Amino acid sequence: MAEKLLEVNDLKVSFFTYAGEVQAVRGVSFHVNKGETLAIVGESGCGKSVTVHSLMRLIPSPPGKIKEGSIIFDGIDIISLSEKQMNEVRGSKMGMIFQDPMTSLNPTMTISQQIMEGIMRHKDVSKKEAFEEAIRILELVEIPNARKRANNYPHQFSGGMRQRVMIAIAIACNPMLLIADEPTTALDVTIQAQIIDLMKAIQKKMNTSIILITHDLGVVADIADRVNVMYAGEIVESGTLNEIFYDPYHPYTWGLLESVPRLDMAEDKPLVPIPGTPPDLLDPPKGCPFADRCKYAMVICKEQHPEMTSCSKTHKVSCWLTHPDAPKVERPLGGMKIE
Amino acid sequence: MGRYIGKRFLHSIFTLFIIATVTFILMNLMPGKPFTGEKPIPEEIRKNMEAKYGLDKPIHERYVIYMKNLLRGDLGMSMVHKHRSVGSIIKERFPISASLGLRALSFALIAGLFLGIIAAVNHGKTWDYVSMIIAVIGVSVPSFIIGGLLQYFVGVKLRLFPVTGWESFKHTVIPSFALGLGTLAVMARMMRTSMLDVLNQDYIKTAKAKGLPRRAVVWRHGIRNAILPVVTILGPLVAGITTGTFVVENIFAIPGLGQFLVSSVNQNDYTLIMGLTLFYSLILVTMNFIVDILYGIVDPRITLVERKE
Amino acid sequence: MSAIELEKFKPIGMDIEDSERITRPSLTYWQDAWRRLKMNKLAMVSLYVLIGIVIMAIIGPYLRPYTFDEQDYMEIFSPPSKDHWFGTDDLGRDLFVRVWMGARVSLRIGFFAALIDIVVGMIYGGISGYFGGRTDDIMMRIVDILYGIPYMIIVILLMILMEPGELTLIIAMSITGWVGTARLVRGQVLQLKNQEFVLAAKTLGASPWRIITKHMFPNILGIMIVQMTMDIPGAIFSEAFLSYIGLGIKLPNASWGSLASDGIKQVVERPWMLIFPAVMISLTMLSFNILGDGLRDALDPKLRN
Repeated sequence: MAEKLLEVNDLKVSFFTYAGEVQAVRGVSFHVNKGETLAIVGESGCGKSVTVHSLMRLIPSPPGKIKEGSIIFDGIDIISLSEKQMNEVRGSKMGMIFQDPMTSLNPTMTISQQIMEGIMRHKDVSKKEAFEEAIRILELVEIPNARKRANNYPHQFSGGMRQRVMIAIAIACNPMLLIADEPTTALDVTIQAQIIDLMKAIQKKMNTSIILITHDLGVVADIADRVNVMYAGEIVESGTLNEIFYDPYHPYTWGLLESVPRLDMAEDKPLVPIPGTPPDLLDPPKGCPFADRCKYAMVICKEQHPEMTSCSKTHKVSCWLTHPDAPKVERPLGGMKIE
Repeated sequence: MGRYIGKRFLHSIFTLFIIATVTFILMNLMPGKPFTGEKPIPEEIRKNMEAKYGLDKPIHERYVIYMKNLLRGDLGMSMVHKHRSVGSIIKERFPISASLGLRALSFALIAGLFLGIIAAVNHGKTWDYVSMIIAVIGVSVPSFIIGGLLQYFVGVKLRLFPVTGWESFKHTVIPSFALGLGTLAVMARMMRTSMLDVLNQDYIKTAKAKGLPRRAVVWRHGIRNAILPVVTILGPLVAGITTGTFVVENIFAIPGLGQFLVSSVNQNDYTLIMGLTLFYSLILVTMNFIVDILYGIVDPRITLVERKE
Repeated sequence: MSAIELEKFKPIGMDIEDSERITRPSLTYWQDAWRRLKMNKLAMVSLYVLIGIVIMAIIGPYLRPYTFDEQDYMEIFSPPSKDHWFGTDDLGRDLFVRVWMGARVSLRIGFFAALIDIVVGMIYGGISGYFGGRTDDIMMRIVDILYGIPYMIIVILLMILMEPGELTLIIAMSITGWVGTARLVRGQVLQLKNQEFVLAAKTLGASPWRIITKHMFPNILGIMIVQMTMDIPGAIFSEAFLSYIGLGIKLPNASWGSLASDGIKQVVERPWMLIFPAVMISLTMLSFNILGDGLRDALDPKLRN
């Protein structure tokens, strides 16, 4: 089957603050195949951002630290690389798009300079060739009048255009993996769809793998092949797009799906928010982290952490409800058909 | 950019006009009146001045005469130093003060920026503390105390440098250091804060994600952005150095203009005080003007905002 | 995954209270700031040093059997001894007493000059920022011009114009000193003006005076305290400078600045005349600066974690 490009095993990342150790990522394992899109979803502060920043070793340290686990990317052990070796990977094999295009571009450098910088770092080209390459990429991300606008400064661009420039910077060296950390969150709804379409087009053209972080399930449905659902620094459920959207097992996934409006929903059915707040990762609970907010919680949920269970070849979940002795519960999202 | 410069220029001219007017009013409020002070003024000077400044005329006519003289660059005659015009004193002594000031300023800027950057890049480590200790001492000890102590220890005890006068390069070392230390400290603190702020910006993460080495991230993306807010305080810093020369020239017996200001204050030489006040204001307003333009050049956003207005 | 007792699978439902249990102690803004200031050892030492200096300024002059202007021609220029702890000056006056009398003058000047700066700056900046529009334009144009005038030169002119003395020093220093504070306050008010709690107060019909004093000033107070710890040493610094060029306190009164400038002239022969006032000025400035930095960090809401 598909070839694995990235494999993460039991990754643990902590931040050491005055109050103690905040365990932001607590043993996360997943993989990304070549040419596919993996979406990581979850509410704010669940550790999705920290996870992908670790992949590029961009965790501010101190206070952050990758404590345990392995990250194997294209056959390389990322964690064991020296900072110098890591710089060879960053920008050339992995590119990253950040959440806020308004603050992610250097205000005192022109657009072309910022794109050329990466090209000249990783490819043996002259300044002129790098400039032509930058223009080509700006055209690829559909910046109108690319040649003219290349010498503009970021403040002369709109938010959507700046995000296109960010994408241009990230893909400048043809990376195998594109990491997008909430690329549409800061944009207008109309622009969001354009950016997602652009990412899809680029993926098709360049056969790039994409890791997309978002809390917008609409975006996920639009682009993802597989989905990881994260909660309190753990992956609680992972599977293909269809498995997560139409056959979810974890009550947290149910909650996420129930809290978004959908076209196939009865008109009078209210949206259901997930009550409560996530646990404080300074002192994570020893049982299931979602137990306190879970309608279906059992005695065991608070006492013992559930193990990852496979529901299908591609579908895994970490929940006590999958235990044979657990009571059968009716899923709130029953009866939905796959398109 | 052209419009921006024009606007700043008019603003500077207006500021100078206000200063000149205020100086004139203060001059006429002076106890004992400028030209009939307690000290007897030689007859010939008095006659000369009365003719020139129309002293018996009403105040608004005197104001017009005063302004006309200023436009011609005529700052009047000194009341203590006979036969000397304020202009000629400035011409003779200012180059020395300017040389001292520029030495101190370049020392303070280069060393201050360097210390600030070193501190920010090594945030929370030894170099950060060393730089900040130097900076805190620099802002805490007045320049005349530093000057006096250096004179005593480095000059008299160790005999490394001459302690007074202004003849060779060796003579300039201690005074420039004493004068520049305060500015260096302010610079270093400001640069450190600004640099730390910039290093936390998202675009630094973008630069790191491109795989740029740390050096390139700090120099190309960090420093240029961090220097922006520092440029804005250059005006007040130059003002600080300028007033600092008054004291430092006095301690080290440097025959500059600042020494004249101090002695004119002690001798109630009103015309000289007024003339020097205006001259120093001119320098500082010009410096502020240059700083504004500099800011427009370093920050591409400034000129655009002005255009939109 | 076997061997788990069946009863462990009894549903218990959710426990929202437990999920919203607050694990960190809740502190008010000021308690939290104080807690963080206390963690900053250097800032706390500075605070104690300053308290010590203030206490000495109050009681110091009474610790020795001399007055600050008592001349003793038998004891001219005597170095520090058990009779004269800090030595004596050119007229045989006891420097220990004079240094602490000078502390009173310097601290008073510093405190009142800073206080006037803050009060005038807050009122001016508050009005300018709150009303905005034309008022703001005109008021800020005036500030721009004042800002362009070299501060020390205005002070020198005023010092020549007015009767020399403590009050004159304070007035001369605060006449342009408030400009920086006014800019700072205006910026803060502009930010606060558009925040929801201010809009809410407006909707409820609160008067501008009430909004400025009850809703805005408490939010600016932290920044103002920091500004004050920076302004006080600034004023002490300026006073020392003016004393040096002969425009400060008139004899026989003394300030740290005037004592240090007398000392400079004797530094080669009688270093003690410079060292004691110089150490006092430097120590005070140092403490205020470190305390100010510590307060800024402690009061910065961005750094709360």
